[in-house]
Amino acid sequence: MPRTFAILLLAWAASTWAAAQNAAPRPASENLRFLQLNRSLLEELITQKLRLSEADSIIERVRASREAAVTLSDALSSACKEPNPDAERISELGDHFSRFMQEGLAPALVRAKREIATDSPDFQTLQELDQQAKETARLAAELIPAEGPLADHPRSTATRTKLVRIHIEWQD
Amino acid sequence: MTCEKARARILALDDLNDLSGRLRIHLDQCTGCRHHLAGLLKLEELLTAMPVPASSPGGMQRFLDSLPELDTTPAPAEQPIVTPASPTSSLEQVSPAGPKRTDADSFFARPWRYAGLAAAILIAAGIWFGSGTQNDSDKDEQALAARHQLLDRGVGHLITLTGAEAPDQRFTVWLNVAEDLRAELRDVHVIAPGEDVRALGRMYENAVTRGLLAQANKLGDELPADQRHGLLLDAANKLNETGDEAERLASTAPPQAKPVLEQLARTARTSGDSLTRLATGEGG
Repeated sequence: MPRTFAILLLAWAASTWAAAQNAAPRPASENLRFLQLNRSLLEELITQKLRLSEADSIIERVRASREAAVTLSDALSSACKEPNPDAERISELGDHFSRFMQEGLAPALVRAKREIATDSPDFQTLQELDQQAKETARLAAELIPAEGPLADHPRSTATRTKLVRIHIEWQD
Repeated sequence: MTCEKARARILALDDLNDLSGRLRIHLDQCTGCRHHLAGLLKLEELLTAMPVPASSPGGMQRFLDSLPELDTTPAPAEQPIVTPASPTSSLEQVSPAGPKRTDADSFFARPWRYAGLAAAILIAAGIWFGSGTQNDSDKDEQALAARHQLLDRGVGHLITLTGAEAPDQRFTVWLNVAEDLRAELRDVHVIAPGEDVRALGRMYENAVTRGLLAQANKLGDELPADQRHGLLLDAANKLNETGDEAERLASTAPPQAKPVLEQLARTARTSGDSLTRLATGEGG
């Protein structure tokens, strides 16, 4: 009888341990895989951060923000054009783009519109940047095709919906 | 009310124009949520405007015909399975009513089957207990956790910089960028090929020299002296820690990572010294 209990206890402990592996830290090999996928983008984002950091006027900050949005959109575009597109990665990059548009570029533009007077020499530039930002949103909304293998994946479909929604929001 | 709650409430509305008091107050103050609502209204408008395709004549009948016939024949009644009783069975003494026993009786008549059942329950309980009950939200969280944390945080820093007008805000962002790169390098330096390690080294160098130090030199009088002093010294300490760690890692690192770590240690120490000098007013 004690042996039976010992075996049962062992089985329970083993199954608990096995199930808990979900919460274990990510192995370095997995991080390296991500790093290799995103290395160019990460380096480009450092450059964009430096531009933002060095911008000494609101209009320059909007310009740098718009360029950063294009960088993220380009990364998404490349992922969509892969011979075997990875829906999870597309979803990840789409989320980053969406988040940046909503939480980075949009507030920067709102601040600039509030601060730059219509008779300022920067006003025309601001209007151009605003148009370019809308165009960036429009192009991003068309990146994930509505047909083909990506259309069947729930994550890339959700990302596509999100990008279309952002495009609609930006047209207002 | 947070933007997250406000947007969730907007999504739950039957009528997007029917806004409650608190929600309306939030929308009056929040440009982002107003944009969000405007987008939803536009989407609703577009969906409403979409034409509904007309049904073809006889379409419903064809659909019904395509369904498989329902089998209405009653299933034969189940017959109890009769197992001969063992004269030595202990259960026979407990229930001497008759010699006929069902499947259930014969299952529980074998003590070892109790053990098997208990083991199955315990293993299932272990897995359930260990992994927790999963719903869609858990699955989403797992999917998010399976993403590249360095990129996720990098986009977060980028967003912070779009609104960071003061040098001290930018300084803090760059310190965080440097710390993230340090952590990534620590994690992968043993297995990463040279080009990946070198890329991380380059990014760290740029973050510290062109980002952090540049902003440190711009920290001016608008910041109280003690706050500026604390900010600079805290960053200097972190850079010195990075220098120590990189040097330690370099001593056991593979050949492709060793020079990168040594250079990173030098950058961190030199920059740490510059920040300390700035903090103590010795110039930088």
